[in-house]
Amino acid sequence: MFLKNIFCVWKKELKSYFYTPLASVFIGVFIVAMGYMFYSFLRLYLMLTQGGPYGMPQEIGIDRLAESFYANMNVIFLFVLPFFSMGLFTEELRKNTLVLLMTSPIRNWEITLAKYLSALSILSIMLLLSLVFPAFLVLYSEGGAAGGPDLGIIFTSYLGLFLNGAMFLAIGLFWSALLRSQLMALIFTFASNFGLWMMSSSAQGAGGQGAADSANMLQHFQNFLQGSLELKSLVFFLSIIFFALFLSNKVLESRAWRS
Amino acid sequence: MIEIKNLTKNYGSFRALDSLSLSIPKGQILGLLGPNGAGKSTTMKIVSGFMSTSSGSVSIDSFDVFESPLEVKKRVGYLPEIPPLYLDMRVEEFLRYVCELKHLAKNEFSGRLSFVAEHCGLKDKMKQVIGSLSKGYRQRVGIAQAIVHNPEVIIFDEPTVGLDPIQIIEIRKLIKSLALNHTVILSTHILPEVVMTCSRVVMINQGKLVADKSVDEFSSNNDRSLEETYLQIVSQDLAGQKVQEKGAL
Repeated sequence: MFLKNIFCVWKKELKSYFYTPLASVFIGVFIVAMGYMFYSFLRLYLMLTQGGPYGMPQEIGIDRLAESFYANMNVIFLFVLPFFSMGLFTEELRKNTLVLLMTSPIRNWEITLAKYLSALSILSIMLLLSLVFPAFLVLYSEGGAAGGPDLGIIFTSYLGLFLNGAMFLAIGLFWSALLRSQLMALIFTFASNFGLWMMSSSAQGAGGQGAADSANMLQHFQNFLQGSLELKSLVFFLSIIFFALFLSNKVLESRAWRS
Repeated sequence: MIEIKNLTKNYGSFRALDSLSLSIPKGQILGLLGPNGAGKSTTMKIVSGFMSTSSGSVSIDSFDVFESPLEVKKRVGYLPEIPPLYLDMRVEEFLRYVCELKHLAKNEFSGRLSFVAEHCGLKDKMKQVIGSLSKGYRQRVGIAQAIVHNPEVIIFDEPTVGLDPIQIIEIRKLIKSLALNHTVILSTHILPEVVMTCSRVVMINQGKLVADKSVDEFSSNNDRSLEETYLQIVSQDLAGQKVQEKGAL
């Protein structure tokens, strides 16, 4: 029965992203921006590897191109994804529609999960659309697939992007459950994501030691980009996601005592 | 059908409900009356399973609201003061969503949708986006979402607010007709509305039950009228406050 509940709310949430053009515009802008970035990186890469006015040709693997491209995509996610999580619960509160959900035969965690899944679906759409770029590399590399990027690394890169994006969305979901306004949820989500980012930078400054290193989001993400699937990196992202969802659900439960 | 026992609700130090007990049999339309802040909406929020209590219990169809909330929520339709509407959705799409949420069987959807379209006067508006509707029509969609899944218990918090006189008459008729198969609790500030639609009147003040009578008792001349009773309760309240203030001085 709970699958039916989750599916019902997920379907409605996903549809509601597209009632206004906002989501479509954001996804469109994302793809165009990534396209431009891909073009610039590819040009730079060709300039460096083929030599020319800037000096002798250098030996750089095409995987390095993919790596810096995906690292930048993650930065874009940091800015774009909070827009998809900010309204998940704040809008329900503002329009008083949370009452409908909470007086329907559906459990709180089903509501939380369905909403989270709808945001993950948007992330998946963006990632699927961005597959056009590695496809380009594979198709047009010299010597076909053999000279193209390592498909294993592409796969782990996408896994890393998905997990990191999913973490941004889970944090966004939590703020959206806790706060009453979309704008505040957006600001707090940005701030938290930035906090994690800064922590990573300072951890790198400290030389990769101790607890700061375990919470080094960038390093964990980097592991995926370099094609290594490390358990601690998986655990890092999944535990933050789980914790954020758990807290969101607690906040939702507490509404019954507060409103 | 509905059993409310010693219901108490505190908001911080403020006691909104003070051991309220009520028993509502099946098929009854109960009018809940009381001044602002008396605890009407709080009672309704608790019975619908939206809010928790401080102490006491509520059960619907012998299911406890807090122990088996899902069973209760399947059986309840609730229209809060502000109707819960997704303004971006179309009326029909929204009501379909409510049907799904409330676990109505799929083969009953179209029948129920045409029933509410007919009885809530939404026939021409089913394809319209809710956000584009006027206040009165939004209120009707709010009523529709409370009854579309054919619940055994219907809770209306001021259902006729914002409606024009003709709509009010229609909605009152609708509520009366619901009595055959449903149990209805409704709150209102319009005293004549209670006489016209309800079979029983309960007045609460400062979270306590102060009067519980059948409507016939009010309409017959040998007793005080509904309005007089109401005013007496409220003025007692004011007098009580004055005494307290004097005591404080």
